[in-house]
Amino acid sequence: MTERVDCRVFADQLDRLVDGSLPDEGRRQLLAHAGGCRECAGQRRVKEVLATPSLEALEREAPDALVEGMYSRVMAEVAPARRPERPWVPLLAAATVVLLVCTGWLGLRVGELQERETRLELELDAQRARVAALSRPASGAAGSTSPASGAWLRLLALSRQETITVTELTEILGRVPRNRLVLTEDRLRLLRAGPAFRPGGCGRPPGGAAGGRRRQGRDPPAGGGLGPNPPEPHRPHRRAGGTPELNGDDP
Amino acid sequence: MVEQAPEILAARARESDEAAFRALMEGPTRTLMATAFRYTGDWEWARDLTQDTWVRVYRKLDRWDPKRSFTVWLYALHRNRCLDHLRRSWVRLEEPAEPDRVERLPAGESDDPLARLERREFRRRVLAAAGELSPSQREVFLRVDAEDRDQREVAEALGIRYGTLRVTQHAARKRVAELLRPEEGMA
Repeated sequence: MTERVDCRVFADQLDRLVDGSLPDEGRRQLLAHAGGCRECAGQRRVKEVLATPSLEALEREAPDALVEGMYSRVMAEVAPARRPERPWVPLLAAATVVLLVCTGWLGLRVGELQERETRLELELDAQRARVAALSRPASGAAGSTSPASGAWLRLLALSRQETITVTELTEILGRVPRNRLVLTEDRLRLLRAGPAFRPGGCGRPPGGAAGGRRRQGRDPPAGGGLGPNPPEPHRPHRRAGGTPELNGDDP
Repeated sequence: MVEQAPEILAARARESDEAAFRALMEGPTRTLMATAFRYTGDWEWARDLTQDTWVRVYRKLDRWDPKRSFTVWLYALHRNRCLDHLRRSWVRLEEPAEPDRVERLPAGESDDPLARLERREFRRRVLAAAGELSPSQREVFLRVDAEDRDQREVAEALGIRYGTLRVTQHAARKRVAELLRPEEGMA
């Protein structure tokens, strides 16, 4: 450096002075100037305290542990800010799980109910078949009341009932042969005393009534009952063979 | 894997592409930490300030103008963050230090822990004094002297001529020295 060093030259060469790229003579001249100029000396100190370490050196020296975890730390800090973008996603996921669980449970229940329904249908069919068998006229004679017939079983069932409707009584009268005893006196008394025996109910039973005492001296009620019957002579109570006593006894 | 320009990654990150944001962080993080160290002289602070800068980038990415350089915008955010940190510590810096100890600061690095501590403290005072500069002087002083960036790159980033940058740099250094004028001359 040959030019005289003044403040302008010093400021222009300050970077080279600090980084050591000046030749010895130039360095000597600049230091000599700074020794006599407080402003230039102050600038030199400011530059020197900021010069080292260089940015390039610091990039090499930066601890890897502090650098490598930077993304995770940033994401952890901004995590609350990310949630509002799609707040419904976790709710939708939870609702989906609940829906799937409920659907699976309902599916199992439906299967169980379907199995039960099938069993009940089979059982119902069997019961219907039994009822149909009981209701079917026995082979050979209509209304046969032989012990082996379904009609017999039907009559037996009806005979065991505590109460009997007029419809059922009509059915009995229709099944039992005309020359058979239908009702004992006790049974008739019960029927007449019970609430099921309503004057004016069913009409004349099919096939007529047989046996049993009849009222005498009294007109039949208008509109029904057992219907008008001609007075008959009193017949003793007797037990006809094969005809069940409709008082609940077994044949 | 082809490196993509920061502007492309930033544009994708704006669309909630987290992979793009992660790639965006990989390049500048080490430099940001080194820059923050030049402001603070401490790696822990440098890490915290760098992390804070990236958090701000994540939250304010929609404010970045895609027509402008992402790197310039990033370093501006980081510089402001570092200066905020320095301002909060200026109260401590304003406390009167022992003049003798300050004036006898060595020019270069020292093995003496006390000397290193004093140097670090003087460095913080210098950077804090940069807050008293005019905006143009502060931008030049911080980018060139505080962050040790290439002068011609800074001139281009600021949109000024190299000669203008040099003149502004000289004025900034002179002003900072006046604010920290030692009672004695250079040691």
